[in-house]
Amino acid sequence: MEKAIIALAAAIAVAITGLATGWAQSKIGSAGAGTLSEKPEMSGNIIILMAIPETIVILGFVVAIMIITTL
Amino acid sequence: MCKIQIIGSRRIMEEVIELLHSLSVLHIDRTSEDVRRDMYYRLVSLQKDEVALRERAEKILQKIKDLILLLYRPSAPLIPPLEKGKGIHSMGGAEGFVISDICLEKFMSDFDVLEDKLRSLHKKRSELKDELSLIERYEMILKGLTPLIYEISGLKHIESTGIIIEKNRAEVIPLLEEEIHRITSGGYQIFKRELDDKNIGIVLTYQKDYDKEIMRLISEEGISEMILPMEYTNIPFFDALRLMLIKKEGIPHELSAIEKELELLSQRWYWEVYGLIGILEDLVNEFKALSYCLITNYTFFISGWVPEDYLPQLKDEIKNGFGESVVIRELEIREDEIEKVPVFIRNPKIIKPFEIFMNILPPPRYDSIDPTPFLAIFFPAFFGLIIGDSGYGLLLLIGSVYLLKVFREKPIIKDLMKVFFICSIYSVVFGFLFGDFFGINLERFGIHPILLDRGKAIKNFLILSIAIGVGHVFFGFMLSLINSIQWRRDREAIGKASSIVMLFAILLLVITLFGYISKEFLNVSVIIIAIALPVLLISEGLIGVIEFIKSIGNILSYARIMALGLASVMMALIANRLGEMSGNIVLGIIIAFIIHTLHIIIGVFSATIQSLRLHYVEFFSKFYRYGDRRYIPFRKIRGGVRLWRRL
Repeated sequence: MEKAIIALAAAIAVAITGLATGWAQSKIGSAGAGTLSEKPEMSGNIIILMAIPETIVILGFVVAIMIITTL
Repeated sequence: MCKIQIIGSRRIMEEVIELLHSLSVLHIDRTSEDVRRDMYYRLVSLQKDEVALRERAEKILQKIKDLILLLYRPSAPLIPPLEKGKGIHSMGGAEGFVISDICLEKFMSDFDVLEDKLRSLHKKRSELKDELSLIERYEMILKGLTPLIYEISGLKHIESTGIIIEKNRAEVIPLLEEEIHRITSGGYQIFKRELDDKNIGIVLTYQKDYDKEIMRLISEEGISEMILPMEYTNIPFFDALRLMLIKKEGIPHELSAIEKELELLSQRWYWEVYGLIGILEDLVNEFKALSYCLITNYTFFISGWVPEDYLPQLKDEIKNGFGESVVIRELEIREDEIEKVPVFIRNPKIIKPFEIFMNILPPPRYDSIDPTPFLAIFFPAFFGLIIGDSGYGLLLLIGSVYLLKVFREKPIIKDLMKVFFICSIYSVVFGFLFGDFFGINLERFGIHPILLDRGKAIKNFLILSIAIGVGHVFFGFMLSLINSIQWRRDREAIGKASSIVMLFAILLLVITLFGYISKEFLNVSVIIIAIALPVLLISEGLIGVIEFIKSIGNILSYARIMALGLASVMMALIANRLGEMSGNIVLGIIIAFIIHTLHIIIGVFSATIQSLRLHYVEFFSKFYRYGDRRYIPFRKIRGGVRLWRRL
């Protein structure tokens, strides 16, 4: 039972952060697409802004790994 | 970069401008505001014919730049020189091409004819392509009914219509035939053809008088009618199909004829137009340069920037050309001018390909650092750590070498392949260190991983990634400190030094808390933080403290190296396991091959983006100051053509 709860905890850590990242990037991506249609020279900035929220899911993954290694 | 001012006699101003244009080393700039406000200096005002020439050149340039887009670029690598007495542009003058001829109306007449011809060819081509793609949508119907089309088309007083019935509803056909027999009193013909696996095409022919009732029957029964494109709706069904068939066969020939004509025109005109664009751009740039000059009654002044290495050559050329009539003064770059200094990025050959990653960012400020060499060192290493598979690395190596040969004419792809070539070597090396070859752990063959097994030593890999992050961020702070000291930004230097000290103290604190070193260091780290924090607060303010806290997050962000590396290992493992599970060696290899291929493509893309992101966001934010001025020298595109002289 304990193992199941630990596994569930790790899954929740990744799932929620994954959802949060997806939600953030969807907003940034659609705004970025609109910006690029008018100013293509902003592509570098847009790529960086798109990549920033990925830290959320990476940290969630790290937490999940740390939880899993207690199994 | 050196700030210079060229001063000389007004009599030779145009010659000096022409020489500067051919040397292509000076970035011409406006003279400073305070000098321009001086009543003795004034801007050069263009004479009436020069204004006309400049406006005409700009107008023609715009027109022929649009024109060249309509031509194909032939494969000839060299621009043929404009020959004396040849071509429509030469008016037979002593130097061949005479620039003032562009003001003549007849100069553009040939180009206008060419433009009209090209536009009509492109329009016709586009219309034919649209028509062909429309007809191709009816491919199924045309293919199925072709034998009937020539038999039945052209008959008068006979109406025909096509319907489509699905094969699984084929039992409806006899009932439909019965009904049609009733309506037309037997005066009909029905033709059935299989269109494809699912559909049967049925063509009905009957007297025109029964058309309305037949149509009503079809619509009431919900049967799909073969509806043809709008332009064929008023033509009898089979006549329309016959026309479509003729067009389908004829359009490719027409398209091929248009392509041939476009190629011929491109062969004849492309390089001539290309050459003319170069000349006109040079002319417009010389007028622009003139507008930056200041003059007095007897002298002219041209201000600009030249890289230090090119200054001796510039001085020699000016001296050889004009002796003591022209003088070059080196001026001091003031502090408020630092952000206006144009930046010239020059890297050794091995680092140059990495400049493509810097092109999407604004150029660095003059008092900042060019991060390209550091990108060249760390980017392949991060890439290699993420991919970390010798097999994938070898494939990437072969692929990059092959694509380098194929795309050697395209500079961007060539540079990208050179970058991937270097990254593949790192991937092979790290693959060897991690003991991975196409997802197969080499421990099976007695080769133990030298560094760590990424699939098992997850915690160690995480620690390694974070350690890389600490080192990289630390290095970024060091670069910033060195840069601040170099440019005598003392307050900033103190702030950066205190950030480095605090980072070191926090690292010490973490290591102590995790028990790797003695607990005594706990007090030491707290004391260091207590001293460094106020220093940081005073030197850089609250922003400095916030930036420092952000740096902690930046370090943790390097955990993505572990995350992506682990994901890479798992994907490769899945590919191999699925292959094994198939039970058949050939099938297993195919399955594993497909998944490995997908994985390589996604892996390369992901490793590139994430490694770049680590640089752009986590590393560059420590020291990179954005500028907005690149070094753009006053460069002549077409040598050997004298442009204009003032009378």
